[in-house]
Amino acid sequence: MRIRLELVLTDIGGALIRALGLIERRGHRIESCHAECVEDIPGRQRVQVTVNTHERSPEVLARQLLRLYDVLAVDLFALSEISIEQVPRVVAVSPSRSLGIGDVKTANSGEVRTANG
Amino acid sequence: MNGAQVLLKALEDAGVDTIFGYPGGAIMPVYDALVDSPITHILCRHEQGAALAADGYARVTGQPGICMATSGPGATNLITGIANAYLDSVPLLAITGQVATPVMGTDAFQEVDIFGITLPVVKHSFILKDADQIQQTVQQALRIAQEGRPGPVLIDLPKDMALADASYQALAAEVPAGEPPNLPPQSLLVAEQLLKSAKKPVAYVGGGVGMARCETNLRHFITRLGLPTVATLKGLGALPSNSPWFLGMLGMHGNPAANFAVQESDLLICIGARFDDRATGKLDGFAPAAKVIHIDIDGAEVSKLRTADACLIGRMRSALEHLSEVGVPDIGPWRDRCLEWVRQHRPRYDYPGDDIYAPHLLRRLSERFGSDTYISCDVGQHQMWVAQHCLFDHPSRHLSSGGLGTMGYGLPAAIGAQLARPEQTVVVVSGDGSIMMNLQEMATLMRYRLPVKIVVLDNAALGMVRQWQELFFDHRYSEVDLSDNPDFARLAESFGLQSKSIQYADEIDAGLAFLESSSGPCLLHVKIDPQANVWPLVPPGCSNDHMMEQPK
Repeated sequence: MRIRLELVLTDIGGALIRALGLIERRGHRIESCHAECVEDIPGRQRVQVTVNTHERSPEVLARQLLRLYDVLAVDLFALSEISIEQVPRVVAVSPSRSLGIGDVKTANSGEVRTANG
Repeated sequence: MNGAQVLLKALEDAGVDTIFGYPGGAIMPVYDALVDSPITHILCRHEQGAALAADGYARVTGQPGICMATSGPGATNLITGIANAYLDSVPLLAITGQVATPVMGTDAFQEVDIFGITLPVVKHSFILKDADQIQQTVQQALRIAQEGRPGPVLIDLPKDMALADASYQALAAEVPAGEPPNLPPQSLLVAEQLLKSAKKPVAYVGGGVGMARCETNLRHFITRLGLPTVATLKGLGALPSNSPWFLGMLGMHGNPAANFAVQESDLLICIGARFDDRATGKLDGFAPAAKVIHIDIDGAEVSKLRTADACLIGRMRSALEHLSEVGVPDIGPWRDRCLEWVRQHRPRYDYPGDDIYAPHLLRRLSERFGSDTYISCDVGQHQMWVAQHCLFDHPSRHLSSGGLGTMGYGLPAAIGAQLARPEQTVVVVSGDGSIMMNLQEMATLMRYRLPVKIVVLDNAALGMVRQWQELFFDHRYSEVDLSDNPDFARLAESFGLQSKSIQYADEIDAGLAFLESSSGPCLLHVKIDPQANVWPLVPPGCSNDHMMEQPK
C-alpha cells in the first residue's frame, strides 16, 4: 500500500532524521520526501513523505510517529488507483502539544481517527 | 554557576540522589562539580555496568535511573544499557560528555555522534548547544523519561557548554504530563460486551501493569471476575505466583497450562503487554479463536501485531476499575478446566542422579528467601528457570532483561536494586556465560559493600545456545563449550567476596545456608548437569500448542 504522510515537526536538529529513520526501521520504504520550514510559523517544519508500507499498518505507523516528541501532527493519505478524495483520510495529532497551525484538527486522545469519525 | 554545576543542581532539585557513571575527558567538568554536590555517584567499572545499574535502580524505585559517561567510547559503552531500557520501557537518563562545540564534526579525539547512534533506541534525546538551556533540558528529559510509556532519554553535553556560565533559576520541576487520555467510551462499551459474552476468557498480563503501578487494581479485577490469568516474563509478580487464578508464564518456555488456556480462549484481555514473539509463538496461530481487548497507554502497541476488537488506550487504572464492575457469565467450567491443566503440569523436582537440578535449587532458594526478595537474572537457561520456578509477589522483585535479552544484565542491575533497597535481600542468578560479561562489577560490590548474593549456575557451556544446537541444528555444537571457565569461587575471592562451590544435590542446603549467613557480597558457584535443558519449549515457527516437553 502506498501512502502519503504529511508531518509537522519541531524545527530542531535531529527531528527530521528521527522521523524518517523510524519510518524505515519499522519496515516501510520511503519513495520520496520533501521538507521545508513553515514560513509563517517559526520553529515548525512541514514534511511530505511518500511511503510504501508493504503489508504493515499505516495507522500503526502514524501512531509510532506520534510517539516522537518532535512530531506534532501526522496526516495520512492513502494513495491508490482511485483518486485521493475517494479513499479514507485519517488525521492524527499529538496530544497536549501546541501546533500553532490553524488548519489541522486536534484529536484530544492522540488516536488516529478517520476524517468522518 | 557553570553548565556542569547547573546540570547537577537541576538533577538535585528534581530529587535525584544517585548517579551511576564513569569519568573521562569530556565529562570532567561534571565530575568536578560532583565534588561539591550532595548527589551520590556510584563508580561502576564499565559504562555498560553503570547504565544497567541505573536500569535496575529505576525498575525498583519507579524513578528515572541516571547514568553518565564521557564522550566516544564512554558513550558507546552506554548503548547496550540504553537499548535495554528502551526495549523494556525503563525510565533512564543517560548523560554523555561531548567534545566542545567548535570541534564537533571534525573527528576530534573521543568524538562520536552519540546523538545519531542512539536515535533508534531512545525515547528522546538532546544535544545542548546553549548553556542557558541546561536546566530546562534536564527537567524536560526527566519528565519525558517518566511520562506515558517510560523510556530512556539522552543528554549530550559538549565540554564547552559544561564550562560556560549558565543561568539557573528556581523553577518548579516539570511533572510528567498529566493524566493519560481518557478511555474512549465506545471502546469501553465494546469491551463490556465482549466480557459479558465470553465463555473462555483469559487475562494476559504484561510489564505495563507494574510500570503503571496498577497491581492492586489488576488483582481486584482478576479476583472479582475470577479470570484465569497468564503473564509474560515482565508481567510475573503482577499477580502473586501463588494466586489461585494464576496459570503461569505463557510463551516459548511457558507453563503448558498457560499456553493451553490462551490457545483455547475466546477472549484475551491483554493488559500492558505487546504480543511479542516470545509470548505468542507463531503469531497467526496465537489464540486463534479469541477476540481481543487491549489495554495499554501506548497507542502504537495496540493492533500493531494483533488486531484488537476493543482498544482501550489510556489509563490502565480506569480501565481495570471500569471492567471490574462488569458482570460476567458463569465461567466455572472453563476455570475448572484451566486449573486442571495447572494440576496436570505442575513442575517436578524429583530429578534422578546426584547432580544439582537447577530448577530444584531455584525453587528452594525462592522459598527460603521469600517472595519479596529481589531476584536479578542474566540471560539464558537460568533466566527461564527463574521465571518458571521462582515465586514473585510483585513485578519489581523480578529484574530480567526481557526485550533486549542482555547477557551481563544481572549483576549491575542487582547493584542498582540493592542501592535502591538497602534493607532488602537482592540475589543475582547468573550463568557461567553471562557472569563473565560484567564480572568487573564485583569490584563495585566491594567498593560500596553491597551485600548482593550471586548464584552462578555453571554448566560449562552457553546453555541455551547449546540446547538449540542440540534440538534444531542436529547436535552440531558450535562455539558453546565453556569448559575452560575460570574458577569462579576463587575469582570472586580475588575481588574480596566470600564464596563457596557446590556440585551435588545433597549440598544444596549448605549452599543456601551459606548465602543466607553471608553478611556481605558473596558468590555461590553451582555446578549443574551440562546436559540439562529448559522445558517445555515451543519450537521456532510453531504455535504455542505445539510444546516440546521434557523427555521421560
